[in-house]
Amino acid sequence: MKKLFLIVVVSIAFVGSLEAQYYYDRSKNPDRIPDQTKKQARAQSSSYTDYSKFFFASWDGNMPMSNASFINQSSSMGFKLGFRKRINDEDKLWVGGDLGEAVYKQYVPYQVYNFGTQSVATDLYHYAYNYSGTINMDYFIFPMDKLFVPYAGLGIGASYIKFSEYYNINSSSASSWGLLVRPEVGFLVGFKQNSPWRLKAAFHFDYASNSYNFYNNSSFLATSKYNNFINAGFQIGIMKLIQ
Amino acid sequence: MKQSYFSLLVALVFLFGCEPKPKVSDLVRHLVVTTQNDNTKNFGSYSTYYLPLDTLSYFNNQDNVAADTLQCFKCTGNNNLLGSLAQIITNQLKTKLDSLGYIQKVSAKQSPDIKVYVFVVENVNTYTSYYNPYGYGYGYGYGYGYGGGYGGYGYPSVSVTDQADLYIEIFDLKHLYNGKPSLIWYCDIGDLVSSPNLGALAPIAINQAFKQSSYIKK
Repeated sequence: MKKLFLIVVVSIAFVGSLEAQYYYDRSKNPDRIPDQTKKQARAQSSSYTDYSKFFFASWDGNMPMSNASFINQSSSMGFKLGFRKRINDEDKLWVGGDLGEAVYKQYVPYQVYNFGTQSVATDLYHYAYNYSGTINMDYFIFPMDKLFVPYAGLGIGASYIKFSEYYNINSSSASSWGLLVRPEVGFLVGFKQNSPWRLKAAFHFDYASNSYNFYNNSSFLATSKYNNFINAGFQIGIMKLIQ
Repeated sequence: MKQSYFSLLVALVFLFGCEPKPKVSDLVRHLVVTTQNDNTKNFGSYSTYYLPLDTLSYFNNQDNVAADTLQCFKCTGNNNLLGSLAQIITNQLKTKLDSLGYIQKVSAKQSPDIKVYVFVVENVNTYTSYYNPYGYGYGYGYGYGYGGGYGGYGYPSVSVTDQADLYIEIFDLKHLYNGKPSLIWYCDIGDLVSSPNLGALAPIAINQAFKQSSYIKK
């Protein structure tokens, strides 16, 4: 095992050194123009606008992948708002933040819940109102003046979930805070070359540490334990680039 | 730029305040049936029951008189607030108890083993809040005193909640506790006010109460 690890490390170091030599001697590769030079060339074009920020608003569809006993239905009631600011001149690394809300709901058919000598028969609705706030970093594969720009990003932040149970005229609520980690991959499509308006679509995976034990709350008929919210989602929306 | 930030802020406030809930019509399709029993009692040891037919007790929290108001189908005025419901409920209870092997005694004087007491409790609450479009608070002397017709310096918003439950209680008349009948089974069915079709749903709920109390049988 140690031997294999050593071979992998040496191989990576070797490839790395080759790459370093390749970039060091620019005279041998005149066709490889540095990104900064390309950027200057683009900037000289009359139609080029150098964007440094963007806002977006997206619809967000989600599928819970954990705690199926409380809610297992996918949600189409979600949205996300976000902001990014470019952190270098190469148009590739952008940082910012997202705010999101997603509402999950589940109908539980009429059944009997037993608590010692007490029994309650009802049908009910479970709702989970998920709110999230993350700090994000996105890496865009191409510069922003391209029509199609794929990207990968990571968001880390806080997740607040309000759990509600509704039956007849009764309702109960409880809430939980957790840490949220959200990697995502997606792409931007411009409405024209270097357009300030883009379509933004992405797949994301959420892991949040929120947990709640309904068994300890007598106002809930649910008795399950909600542990670590895991979710996969797809978002699509509009973004606006600004200078 | 300032406009963009402002639009974003407005969108945030609007969207984050939105917590959708189930439709009321979906929530009240069924009545909630809650039952509880004294598990030291053997319901098989009782043979006869007493249940006044076509009559039930009614309590309303806004009624100044503490005593119940008897409700019956053939009565009039305040004694017929529930219409035919008293008859529907007591008939369903009789059908159910008979089918479980118990024999009805037509009078409490015939020494029945258990007594079935049926009553409805209605709670009506009125909340008044005052909205002041000019932002004057109570601390400035505005508020209640200036509500209503005083040129819009604050007008009242009245909300009324009305909720009622049907209770069915079974008392043990064979084994008295401190000389009084003891409660051995209790059932709470609600909400009667928001139920769209009480005449049909009440008998279903009563059947459910006995279904989830399978220990009640001769």
